[in-house]
Amino acid sequence: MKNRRIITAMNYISDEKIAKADEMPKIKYNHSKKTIFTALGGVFAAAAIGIVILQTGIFSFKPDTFIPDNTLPTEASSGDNTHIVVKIDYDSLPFEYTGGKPEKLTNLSVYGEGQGDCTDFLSNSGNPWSENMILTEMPVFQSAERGFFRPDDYIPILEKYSAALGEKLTDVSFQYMNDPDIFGPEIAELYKDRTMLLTAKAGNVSFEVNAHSAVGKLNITISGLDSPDDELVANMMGFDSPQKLGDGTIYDKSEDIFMRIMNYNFRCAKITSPDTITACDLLTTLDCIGMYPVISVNDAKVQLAERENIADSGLIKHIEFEYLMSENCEFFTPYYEFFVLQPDETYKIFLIPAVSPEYIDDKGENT
Amino acid sequence: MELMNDEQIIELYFQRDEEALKQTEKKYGQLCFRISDNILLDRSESEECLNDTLLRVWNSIPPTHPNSLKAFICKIVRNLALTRFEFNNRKKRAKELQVSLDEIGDMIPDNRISADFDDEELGQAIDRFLDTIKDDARNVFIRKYWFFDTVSDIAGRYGFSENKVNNMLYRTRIKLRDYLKKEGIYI
Repeated sequence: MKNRRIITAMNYISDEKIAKADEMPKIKYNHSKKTIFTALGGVFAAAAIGIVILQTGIFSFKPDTFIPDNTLPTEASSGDNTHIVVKIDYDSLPFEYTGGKPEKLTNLSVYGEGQGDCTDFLSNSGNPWSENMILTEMPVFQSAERGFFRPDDYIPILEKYSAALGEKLTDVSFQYMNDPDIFGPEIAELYKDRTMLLTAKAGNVSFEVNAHSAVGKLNITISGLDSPDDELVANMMGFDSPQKLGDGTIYDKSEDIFMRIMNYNFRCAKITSPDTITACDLLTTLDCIGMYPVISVNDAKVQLAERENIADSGLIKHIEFEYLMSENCEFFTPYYEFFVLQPDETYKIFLIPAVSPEYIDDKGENT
Repeated sequence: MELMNDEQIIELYFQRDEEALKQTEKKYGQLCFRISDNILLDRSESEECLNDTLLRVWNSIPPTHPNSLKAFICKIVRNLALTRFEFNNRKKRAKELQVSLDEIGDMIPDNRISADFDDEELGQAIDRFLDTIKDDARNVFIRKYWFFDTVSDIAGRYGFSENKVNNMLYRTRIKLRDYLKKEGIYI
């Protein structure tokens, strides 16, 4: 019935559009097509979500000087097999990018540093990026429209899992993670209704859906899978093995690494095997303003050391590659996120913009 | 022999000259067959559908004077093929076609459409939305959900990779959903 309505409704598309769609297209010049990168190995684990932000700084790009750099190295210079280089197939981008000059940007706010419980990050990370990946250029986005989480999107998925386990879904609990007593008033307000925690049980198995729409991340954690019979459920959730991994980040594993990074940061959460389930759209639009050269993680470490006077690089216990934007910022830009061990055994998070400094003005200036 | 232009063909219909049918088949027969075959996946049925289309056009012009004869004929063959498809309910094709329709249908759940919102208004909203997107995205969308071309065929037609076509369709569906939401069709 629904489809019949769509079919009928589509009849009212104008004749002109139908006729145009049937015209043979003009031949276009395919500009500097790059090939998709090959992976020599990938780190792929899982984690719960946690984002903490305490301080804000400001900088801006130099858009007038921006030229997409096609001369960046495309292979690991060391020649060893410990590094992989992420290249971008411009024909397959999950957003519209015409290769044009980016628009002028001003007052680009960035996160500075934060602090929090980093236990999960240090043990398991769902971030598809790892230190052995070299990113040469990455997109910057403007006016990305954020989605919001609804438990109704996820409960059917958990019901499906529980059915596969032969159990009924019970103890369903949902909350937006905006409790000021837990997160502090500033963060609770900043992420009001954007961070979701949904928990449920199926027999001895526990589910935890932990989602954060501000940066478009979703994790579904499952614990208690201790039988080989549970492999089906583990596979459905994208886990390699129910024995080895108790949790996982759900995104499309079939894509190349660049697409996985995009999926992880921006796109919908998808469960691709054996069924395709689109759980939600975390960010509904992505307006790319340009592809920007990205510094290496080692260069970011140098910046971090200079800025924060971190003499002992051994204190850096974990690094992530993230897309972030602040409340007052109109751009999503990539960052290296460093988890640095403090003397009191807690961790402090430092954010270094991944965009090459030559495209940034007033870097590090505080508000 | 050169093909007649659309106005000349329409004029033949108005004169009730059966040459109109020959000219229509000559000019648009292949297109009609392709649309029909995309839906029915059956050569003989598609040929029958083409004949039905010509008859329907003959009975419609006059009094109708279509602005675009091509679009007019395409709509007729599409509707006839879909009606026949529903009648046949062939499982294999049903599954494939259902996937295409589900993709777009999921954005517009029946029970959330206002009762006052009829199909014409929904269609016009979709049409207005198509005005807001780029030509490439619009054409790919129409090829997929109006002509029911396969992703592979669309990719070949426009020189895109299949991945790109899938991405374009995905983006367009998301934009359409948001557009319809703003129009009050999706709550």
